[in-house]
Amino acid sequence: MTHFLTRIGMLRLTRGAQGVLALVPLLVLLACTEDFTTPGACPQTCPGGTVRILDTVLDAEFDLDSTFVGYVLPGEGTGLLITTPSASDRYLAAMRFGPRLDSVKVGDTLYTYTVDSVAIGLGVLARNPVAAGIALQIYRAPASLDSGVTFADIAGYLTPENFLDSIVVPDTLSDGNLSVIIKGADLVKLEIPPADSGVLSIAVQASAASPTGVELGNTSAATYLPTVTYYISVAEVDSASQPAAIRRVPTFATWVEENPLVPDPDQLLLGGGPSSRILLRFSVPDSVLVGVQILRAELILTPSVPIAGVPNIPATATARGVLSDQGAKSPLVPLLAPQVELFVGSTDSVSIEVIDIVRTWQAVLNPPAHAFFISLQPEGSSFTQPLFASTRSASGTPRLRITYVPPLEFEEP
Amino acid sequence: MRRISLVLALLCGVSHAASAQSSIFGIRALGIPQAPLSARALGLGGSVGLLDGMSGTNPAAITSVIGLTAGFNFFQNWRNSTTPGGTGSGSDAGMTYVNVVNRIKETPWYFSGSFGSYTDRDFGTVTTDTTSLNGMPVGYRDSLESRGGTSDFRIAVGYRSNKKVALGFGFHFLTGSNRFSLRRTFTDSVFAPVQQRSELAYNAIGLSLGAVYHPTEPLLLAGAIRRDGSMNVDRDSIQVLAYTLPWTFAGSAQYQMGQRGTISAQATYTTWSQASAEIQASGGVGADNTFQGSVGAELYTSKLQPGKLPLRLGVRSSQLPFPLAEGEQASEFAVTAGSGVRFAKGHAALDLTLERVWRSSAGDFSEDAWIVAVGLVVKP
Repeated sequence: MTHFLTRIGMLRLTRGAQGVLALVPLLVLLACTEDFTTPGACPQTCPGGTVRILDTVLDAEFDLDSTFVGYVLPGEGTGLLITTPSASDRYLAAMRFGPRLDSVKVGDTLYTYTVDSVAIGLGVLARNPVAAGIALQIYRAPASLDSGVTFADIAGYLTPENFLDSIVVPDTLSDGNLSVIIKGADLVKLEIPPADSGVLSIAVQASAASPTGVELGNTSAATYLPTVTYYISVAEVDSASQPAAIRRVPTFATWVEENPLVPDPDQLLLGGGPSSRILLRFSVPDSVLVGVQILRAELILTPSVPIAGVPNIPATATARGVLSDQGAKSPLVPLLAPQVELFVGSTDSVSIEVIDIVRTWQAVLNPPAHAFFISLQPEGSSFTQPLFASTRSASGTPRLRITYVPPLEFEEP
Repeated sequence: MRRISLVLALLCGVSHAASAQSSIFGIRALGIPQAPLSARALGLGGSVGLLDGMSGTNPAAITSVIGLTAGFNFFQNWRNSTTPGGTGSGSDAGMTYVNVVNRIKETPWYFSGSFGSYTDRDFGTVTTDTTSLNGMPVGYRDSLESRGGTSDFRIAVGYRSNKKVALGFGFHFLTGSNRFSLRRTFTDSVFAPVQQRSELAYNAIGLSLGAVYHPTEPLLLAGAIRRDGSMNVDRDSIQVLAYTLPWTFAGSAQYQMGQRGTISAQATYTTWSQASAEIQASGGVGADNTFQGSVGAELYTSKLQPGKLPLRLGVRSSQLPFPLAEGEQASEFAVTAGSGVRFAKGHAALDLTLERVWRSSAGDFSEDAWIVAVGLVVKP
């Protein structure tokens, strides 16, 4: 600074004066420390009005809440559900594997082959960790298995004649792949008649010391998908040129429930197969949305009966915002999907923190509908099926509780 | 003039980020008033403010300045504040006070432009407590901050036809803003933090009249009256409040003790209570009139060069206008010491002042602070 002022001819300074003047910017720089905060004591040191935290509980709009069915069919989800025969509500699974040809190419030549052994693999996605002695009982099912199969059909396949083998689920296993190898004389159980065109189908149920269930991996369950592997050999070629094993995954898989829940018109069903979702609509006054800051928003659902399902297998209720209310096919707000875990047997209110969704309702331009779509995860693959009270129920109507702060009156001196 | 403008721009840039003196006693209403004093006048406890041409309290005082002169005054404070909630330390830089004075060539007329802080409302408080949320007690921590205050831009004209009397007139444009922010966090994380911001903008005008009288050689007398108008307070461009600003009456005397130095005294009375009803109607605590008295002495260490390292001492006692609680007016007591040097053949001066301030009010609120003021005066 001093040098600059001197250069522009403003000052004619002695060396000492230059030194003194040079201290000025240094002092100014040193002075640039700022720390304002001190402990306050309200009300004396708290101008700007009081933080008023308000709480509003809104019931869902009467008779505008609905259960819509058919989003995820059994077998379209990540899991296949099976229970023990002793379970209060039985589940069975069945699957049809892809066909294998009756010949295999080695070099440029097709050969018929011999099946030396067959491995059937099943993945366990979830099980009740408390249940002990679980085994997966595998039965032969007809190659004609398709989406029209019923619980009675699959139950009819579970005969001693169709029994292939069982896979023990170690008590310590929470999830993982298991398999059984069938060979020797037992291979006759897996012979595929020519009319079936190489297609193998199986049905599965669980067994255990006490009633329980297991969620098996479906084809979309990453590494836990069902497989059948045929280990083959060709007599005409040497051991070094033997063909690789033939591996097939299901081209169709499903599960069936013996006693699907049929909701009362005054109840709202979540989950099941085909899966159900719940649409809830709210009418939120502007005073709760416009110009306020929302601190918390809870969507409260009350089970009308204890939540059905297999204990200790996780399932969650997920709330989604509704971009535009078009009923069952409403487009959803992307990304925001708060969820809460559901507990089998519980009748406690289920509270989902939906603050991020409710905040989207504060948008000035094109705010989403004041509605929620509730779904169950894993959808189409869970034993858990809550039945919630609706706005038509005598009590426990779905509610939205919004905690918010109006703008502070900073001008209050 | 071009050179002065350049220096002004440079120093304004340096002080751009600076704000005014923060204090827990600047929390209410407009904050804590800031006298437009040069570092030299501050070193004398403010007792020569009405006689100091490089201060902004008396437009007639600019007639004491010889030639084009620019003054730049920088402030820094370090403070300890005590409230019933605890004790905290803070520091901040004050708003730079700048004053440019010139005499219109070969006329008895003088002209001045200055700006500085009028009131300061820089503060930050942290409060913890418990509130009921959804029927459950939940702890919270409030962090309330305010940045800003009001500034005083003055255009002054002075007239001196002889050595006896000088008169002056000042037009003040008061403007500024407060940027508030509140953040409340809860001990229960299911509640999102409260975060609110707002900005208040202020504007008003004021007029001041002043006189300097030199009845005898060793005695100087000065007086000033200032009337500030109504302060409009806008929130987000909408007027929400208006405060009636005060009358200010001030008088000062300085006695020349031969070649040993000067002694001076000043008294100021400000009618801030005019705004009390308006402040209370807006939910505030109110306002009280204030009296300020100060005495000071400048002792020369060189009889030949009085401006070379004089010793300046001052004492000031004052009341603060905006109480934290009704009927509990805060007071301030300060002692000051300072000195200065002239250099560049009298074309520049550097003044340094150290001020120790104690503030207190009923209700266990108190504060002590060190304030350093550095003044640079340039006469190109």
